[in-house]
Amino acid sequence: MPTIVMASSKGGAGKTTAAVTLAGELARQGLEKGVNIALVDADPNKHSAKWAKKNGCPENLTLYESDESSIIDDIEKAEQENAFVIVDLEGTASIAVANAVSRADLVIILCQGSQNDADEAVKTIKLLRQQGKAFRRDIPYSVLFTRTSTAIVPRTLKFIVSQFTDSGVDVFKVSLIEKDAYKAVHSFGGIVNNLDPKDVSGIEVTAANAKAYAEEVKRKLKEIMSGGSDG
Amino acid sequence: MAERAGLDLDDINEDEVDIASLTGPKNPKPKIDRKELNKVSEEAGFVSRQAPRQRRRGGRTAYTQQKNFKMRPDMPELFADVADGLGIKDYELLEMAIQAFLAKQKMKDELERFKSITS
Repeated sequence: MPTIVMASSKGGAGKTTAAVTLAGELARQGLEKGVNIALVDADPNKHSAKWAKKNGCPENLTLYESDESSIIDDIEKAEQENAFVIVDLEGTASIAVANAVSRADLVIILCQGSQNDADEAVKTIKLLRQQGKAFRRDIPYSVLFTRTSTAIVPRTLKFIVSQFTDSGVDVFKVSLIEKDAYKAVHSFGGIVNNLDPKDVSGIEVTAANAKAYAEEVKRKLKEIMSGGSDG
Repeated sequence: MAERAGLDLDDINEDEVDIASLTGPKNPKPKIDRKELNKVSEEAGFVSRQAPRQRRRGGRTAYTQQKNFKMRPDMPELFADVADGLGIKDYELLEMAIQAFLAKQKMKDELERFKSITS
């Protein structure tokens, strides 16, 4: 029963998109198997919560609204009641982020292909390593690039990826591509697969991207649960 | 005629992980002393963003400053109707509007300032 935390100390890195996409895709996959998903929104802006309250939200997905002072308790409660817990956080270097990652089975560090985002990702990685040392528990993590282009891979992005991989930092093979359909779910509610092609373009590509992302998360979790990864 | 080679799609989903297989018991996590956790977090630059709770006298609010400005005719009524419709005070509506504007304009510094004022 894994807890997956979206972390980045920088705003606009794509945490909410990553959280909502993963929660929606896992809920879709788990619907007929009785697998319940929790979405914990500890971002004061509550964008994930607003999405979860719209029509079309999968019925096996439960929203937990949280904040800095109650985040650990809220995660533990969500863990007791659901098979998967996905946590969306504010884009700042806050105690809420630090508290949430302390309960994580996997931390997904969101990063766009920019130096500023990469610097903030490093800050989060350092926090995880410091917590790991202090509490003798390696917190598995992986960097997920967001808002990437399907057409080109810019040199800055290539350089940042190589910097991470050369340092032994795990990086998702898949990235979240820049697509209108990811934004549209916040307008229409529900998941990408259920959007209407009359309203939004690129649904098929976006749904495939969301599925590939969820599959890679599941593979990482499987590896972690079998004791095969230390981040 | 030569036959085209088919795409080997039969096992395209071979490496999919069944979601149900991940729902077993969690890896146990040690109990963490929260004071110690806060200390480690602050050393890494992750600090509290929540204002310390202040004891307030009954009925007193944080809205202590007054600002008067002119509006177009009928605008005050519209403003009041929107606030009433949302079930909030007019000064709360003004703050929501300012916050939405700063977010839309991506005025990050001002948004941080807004948050520090309203938190």
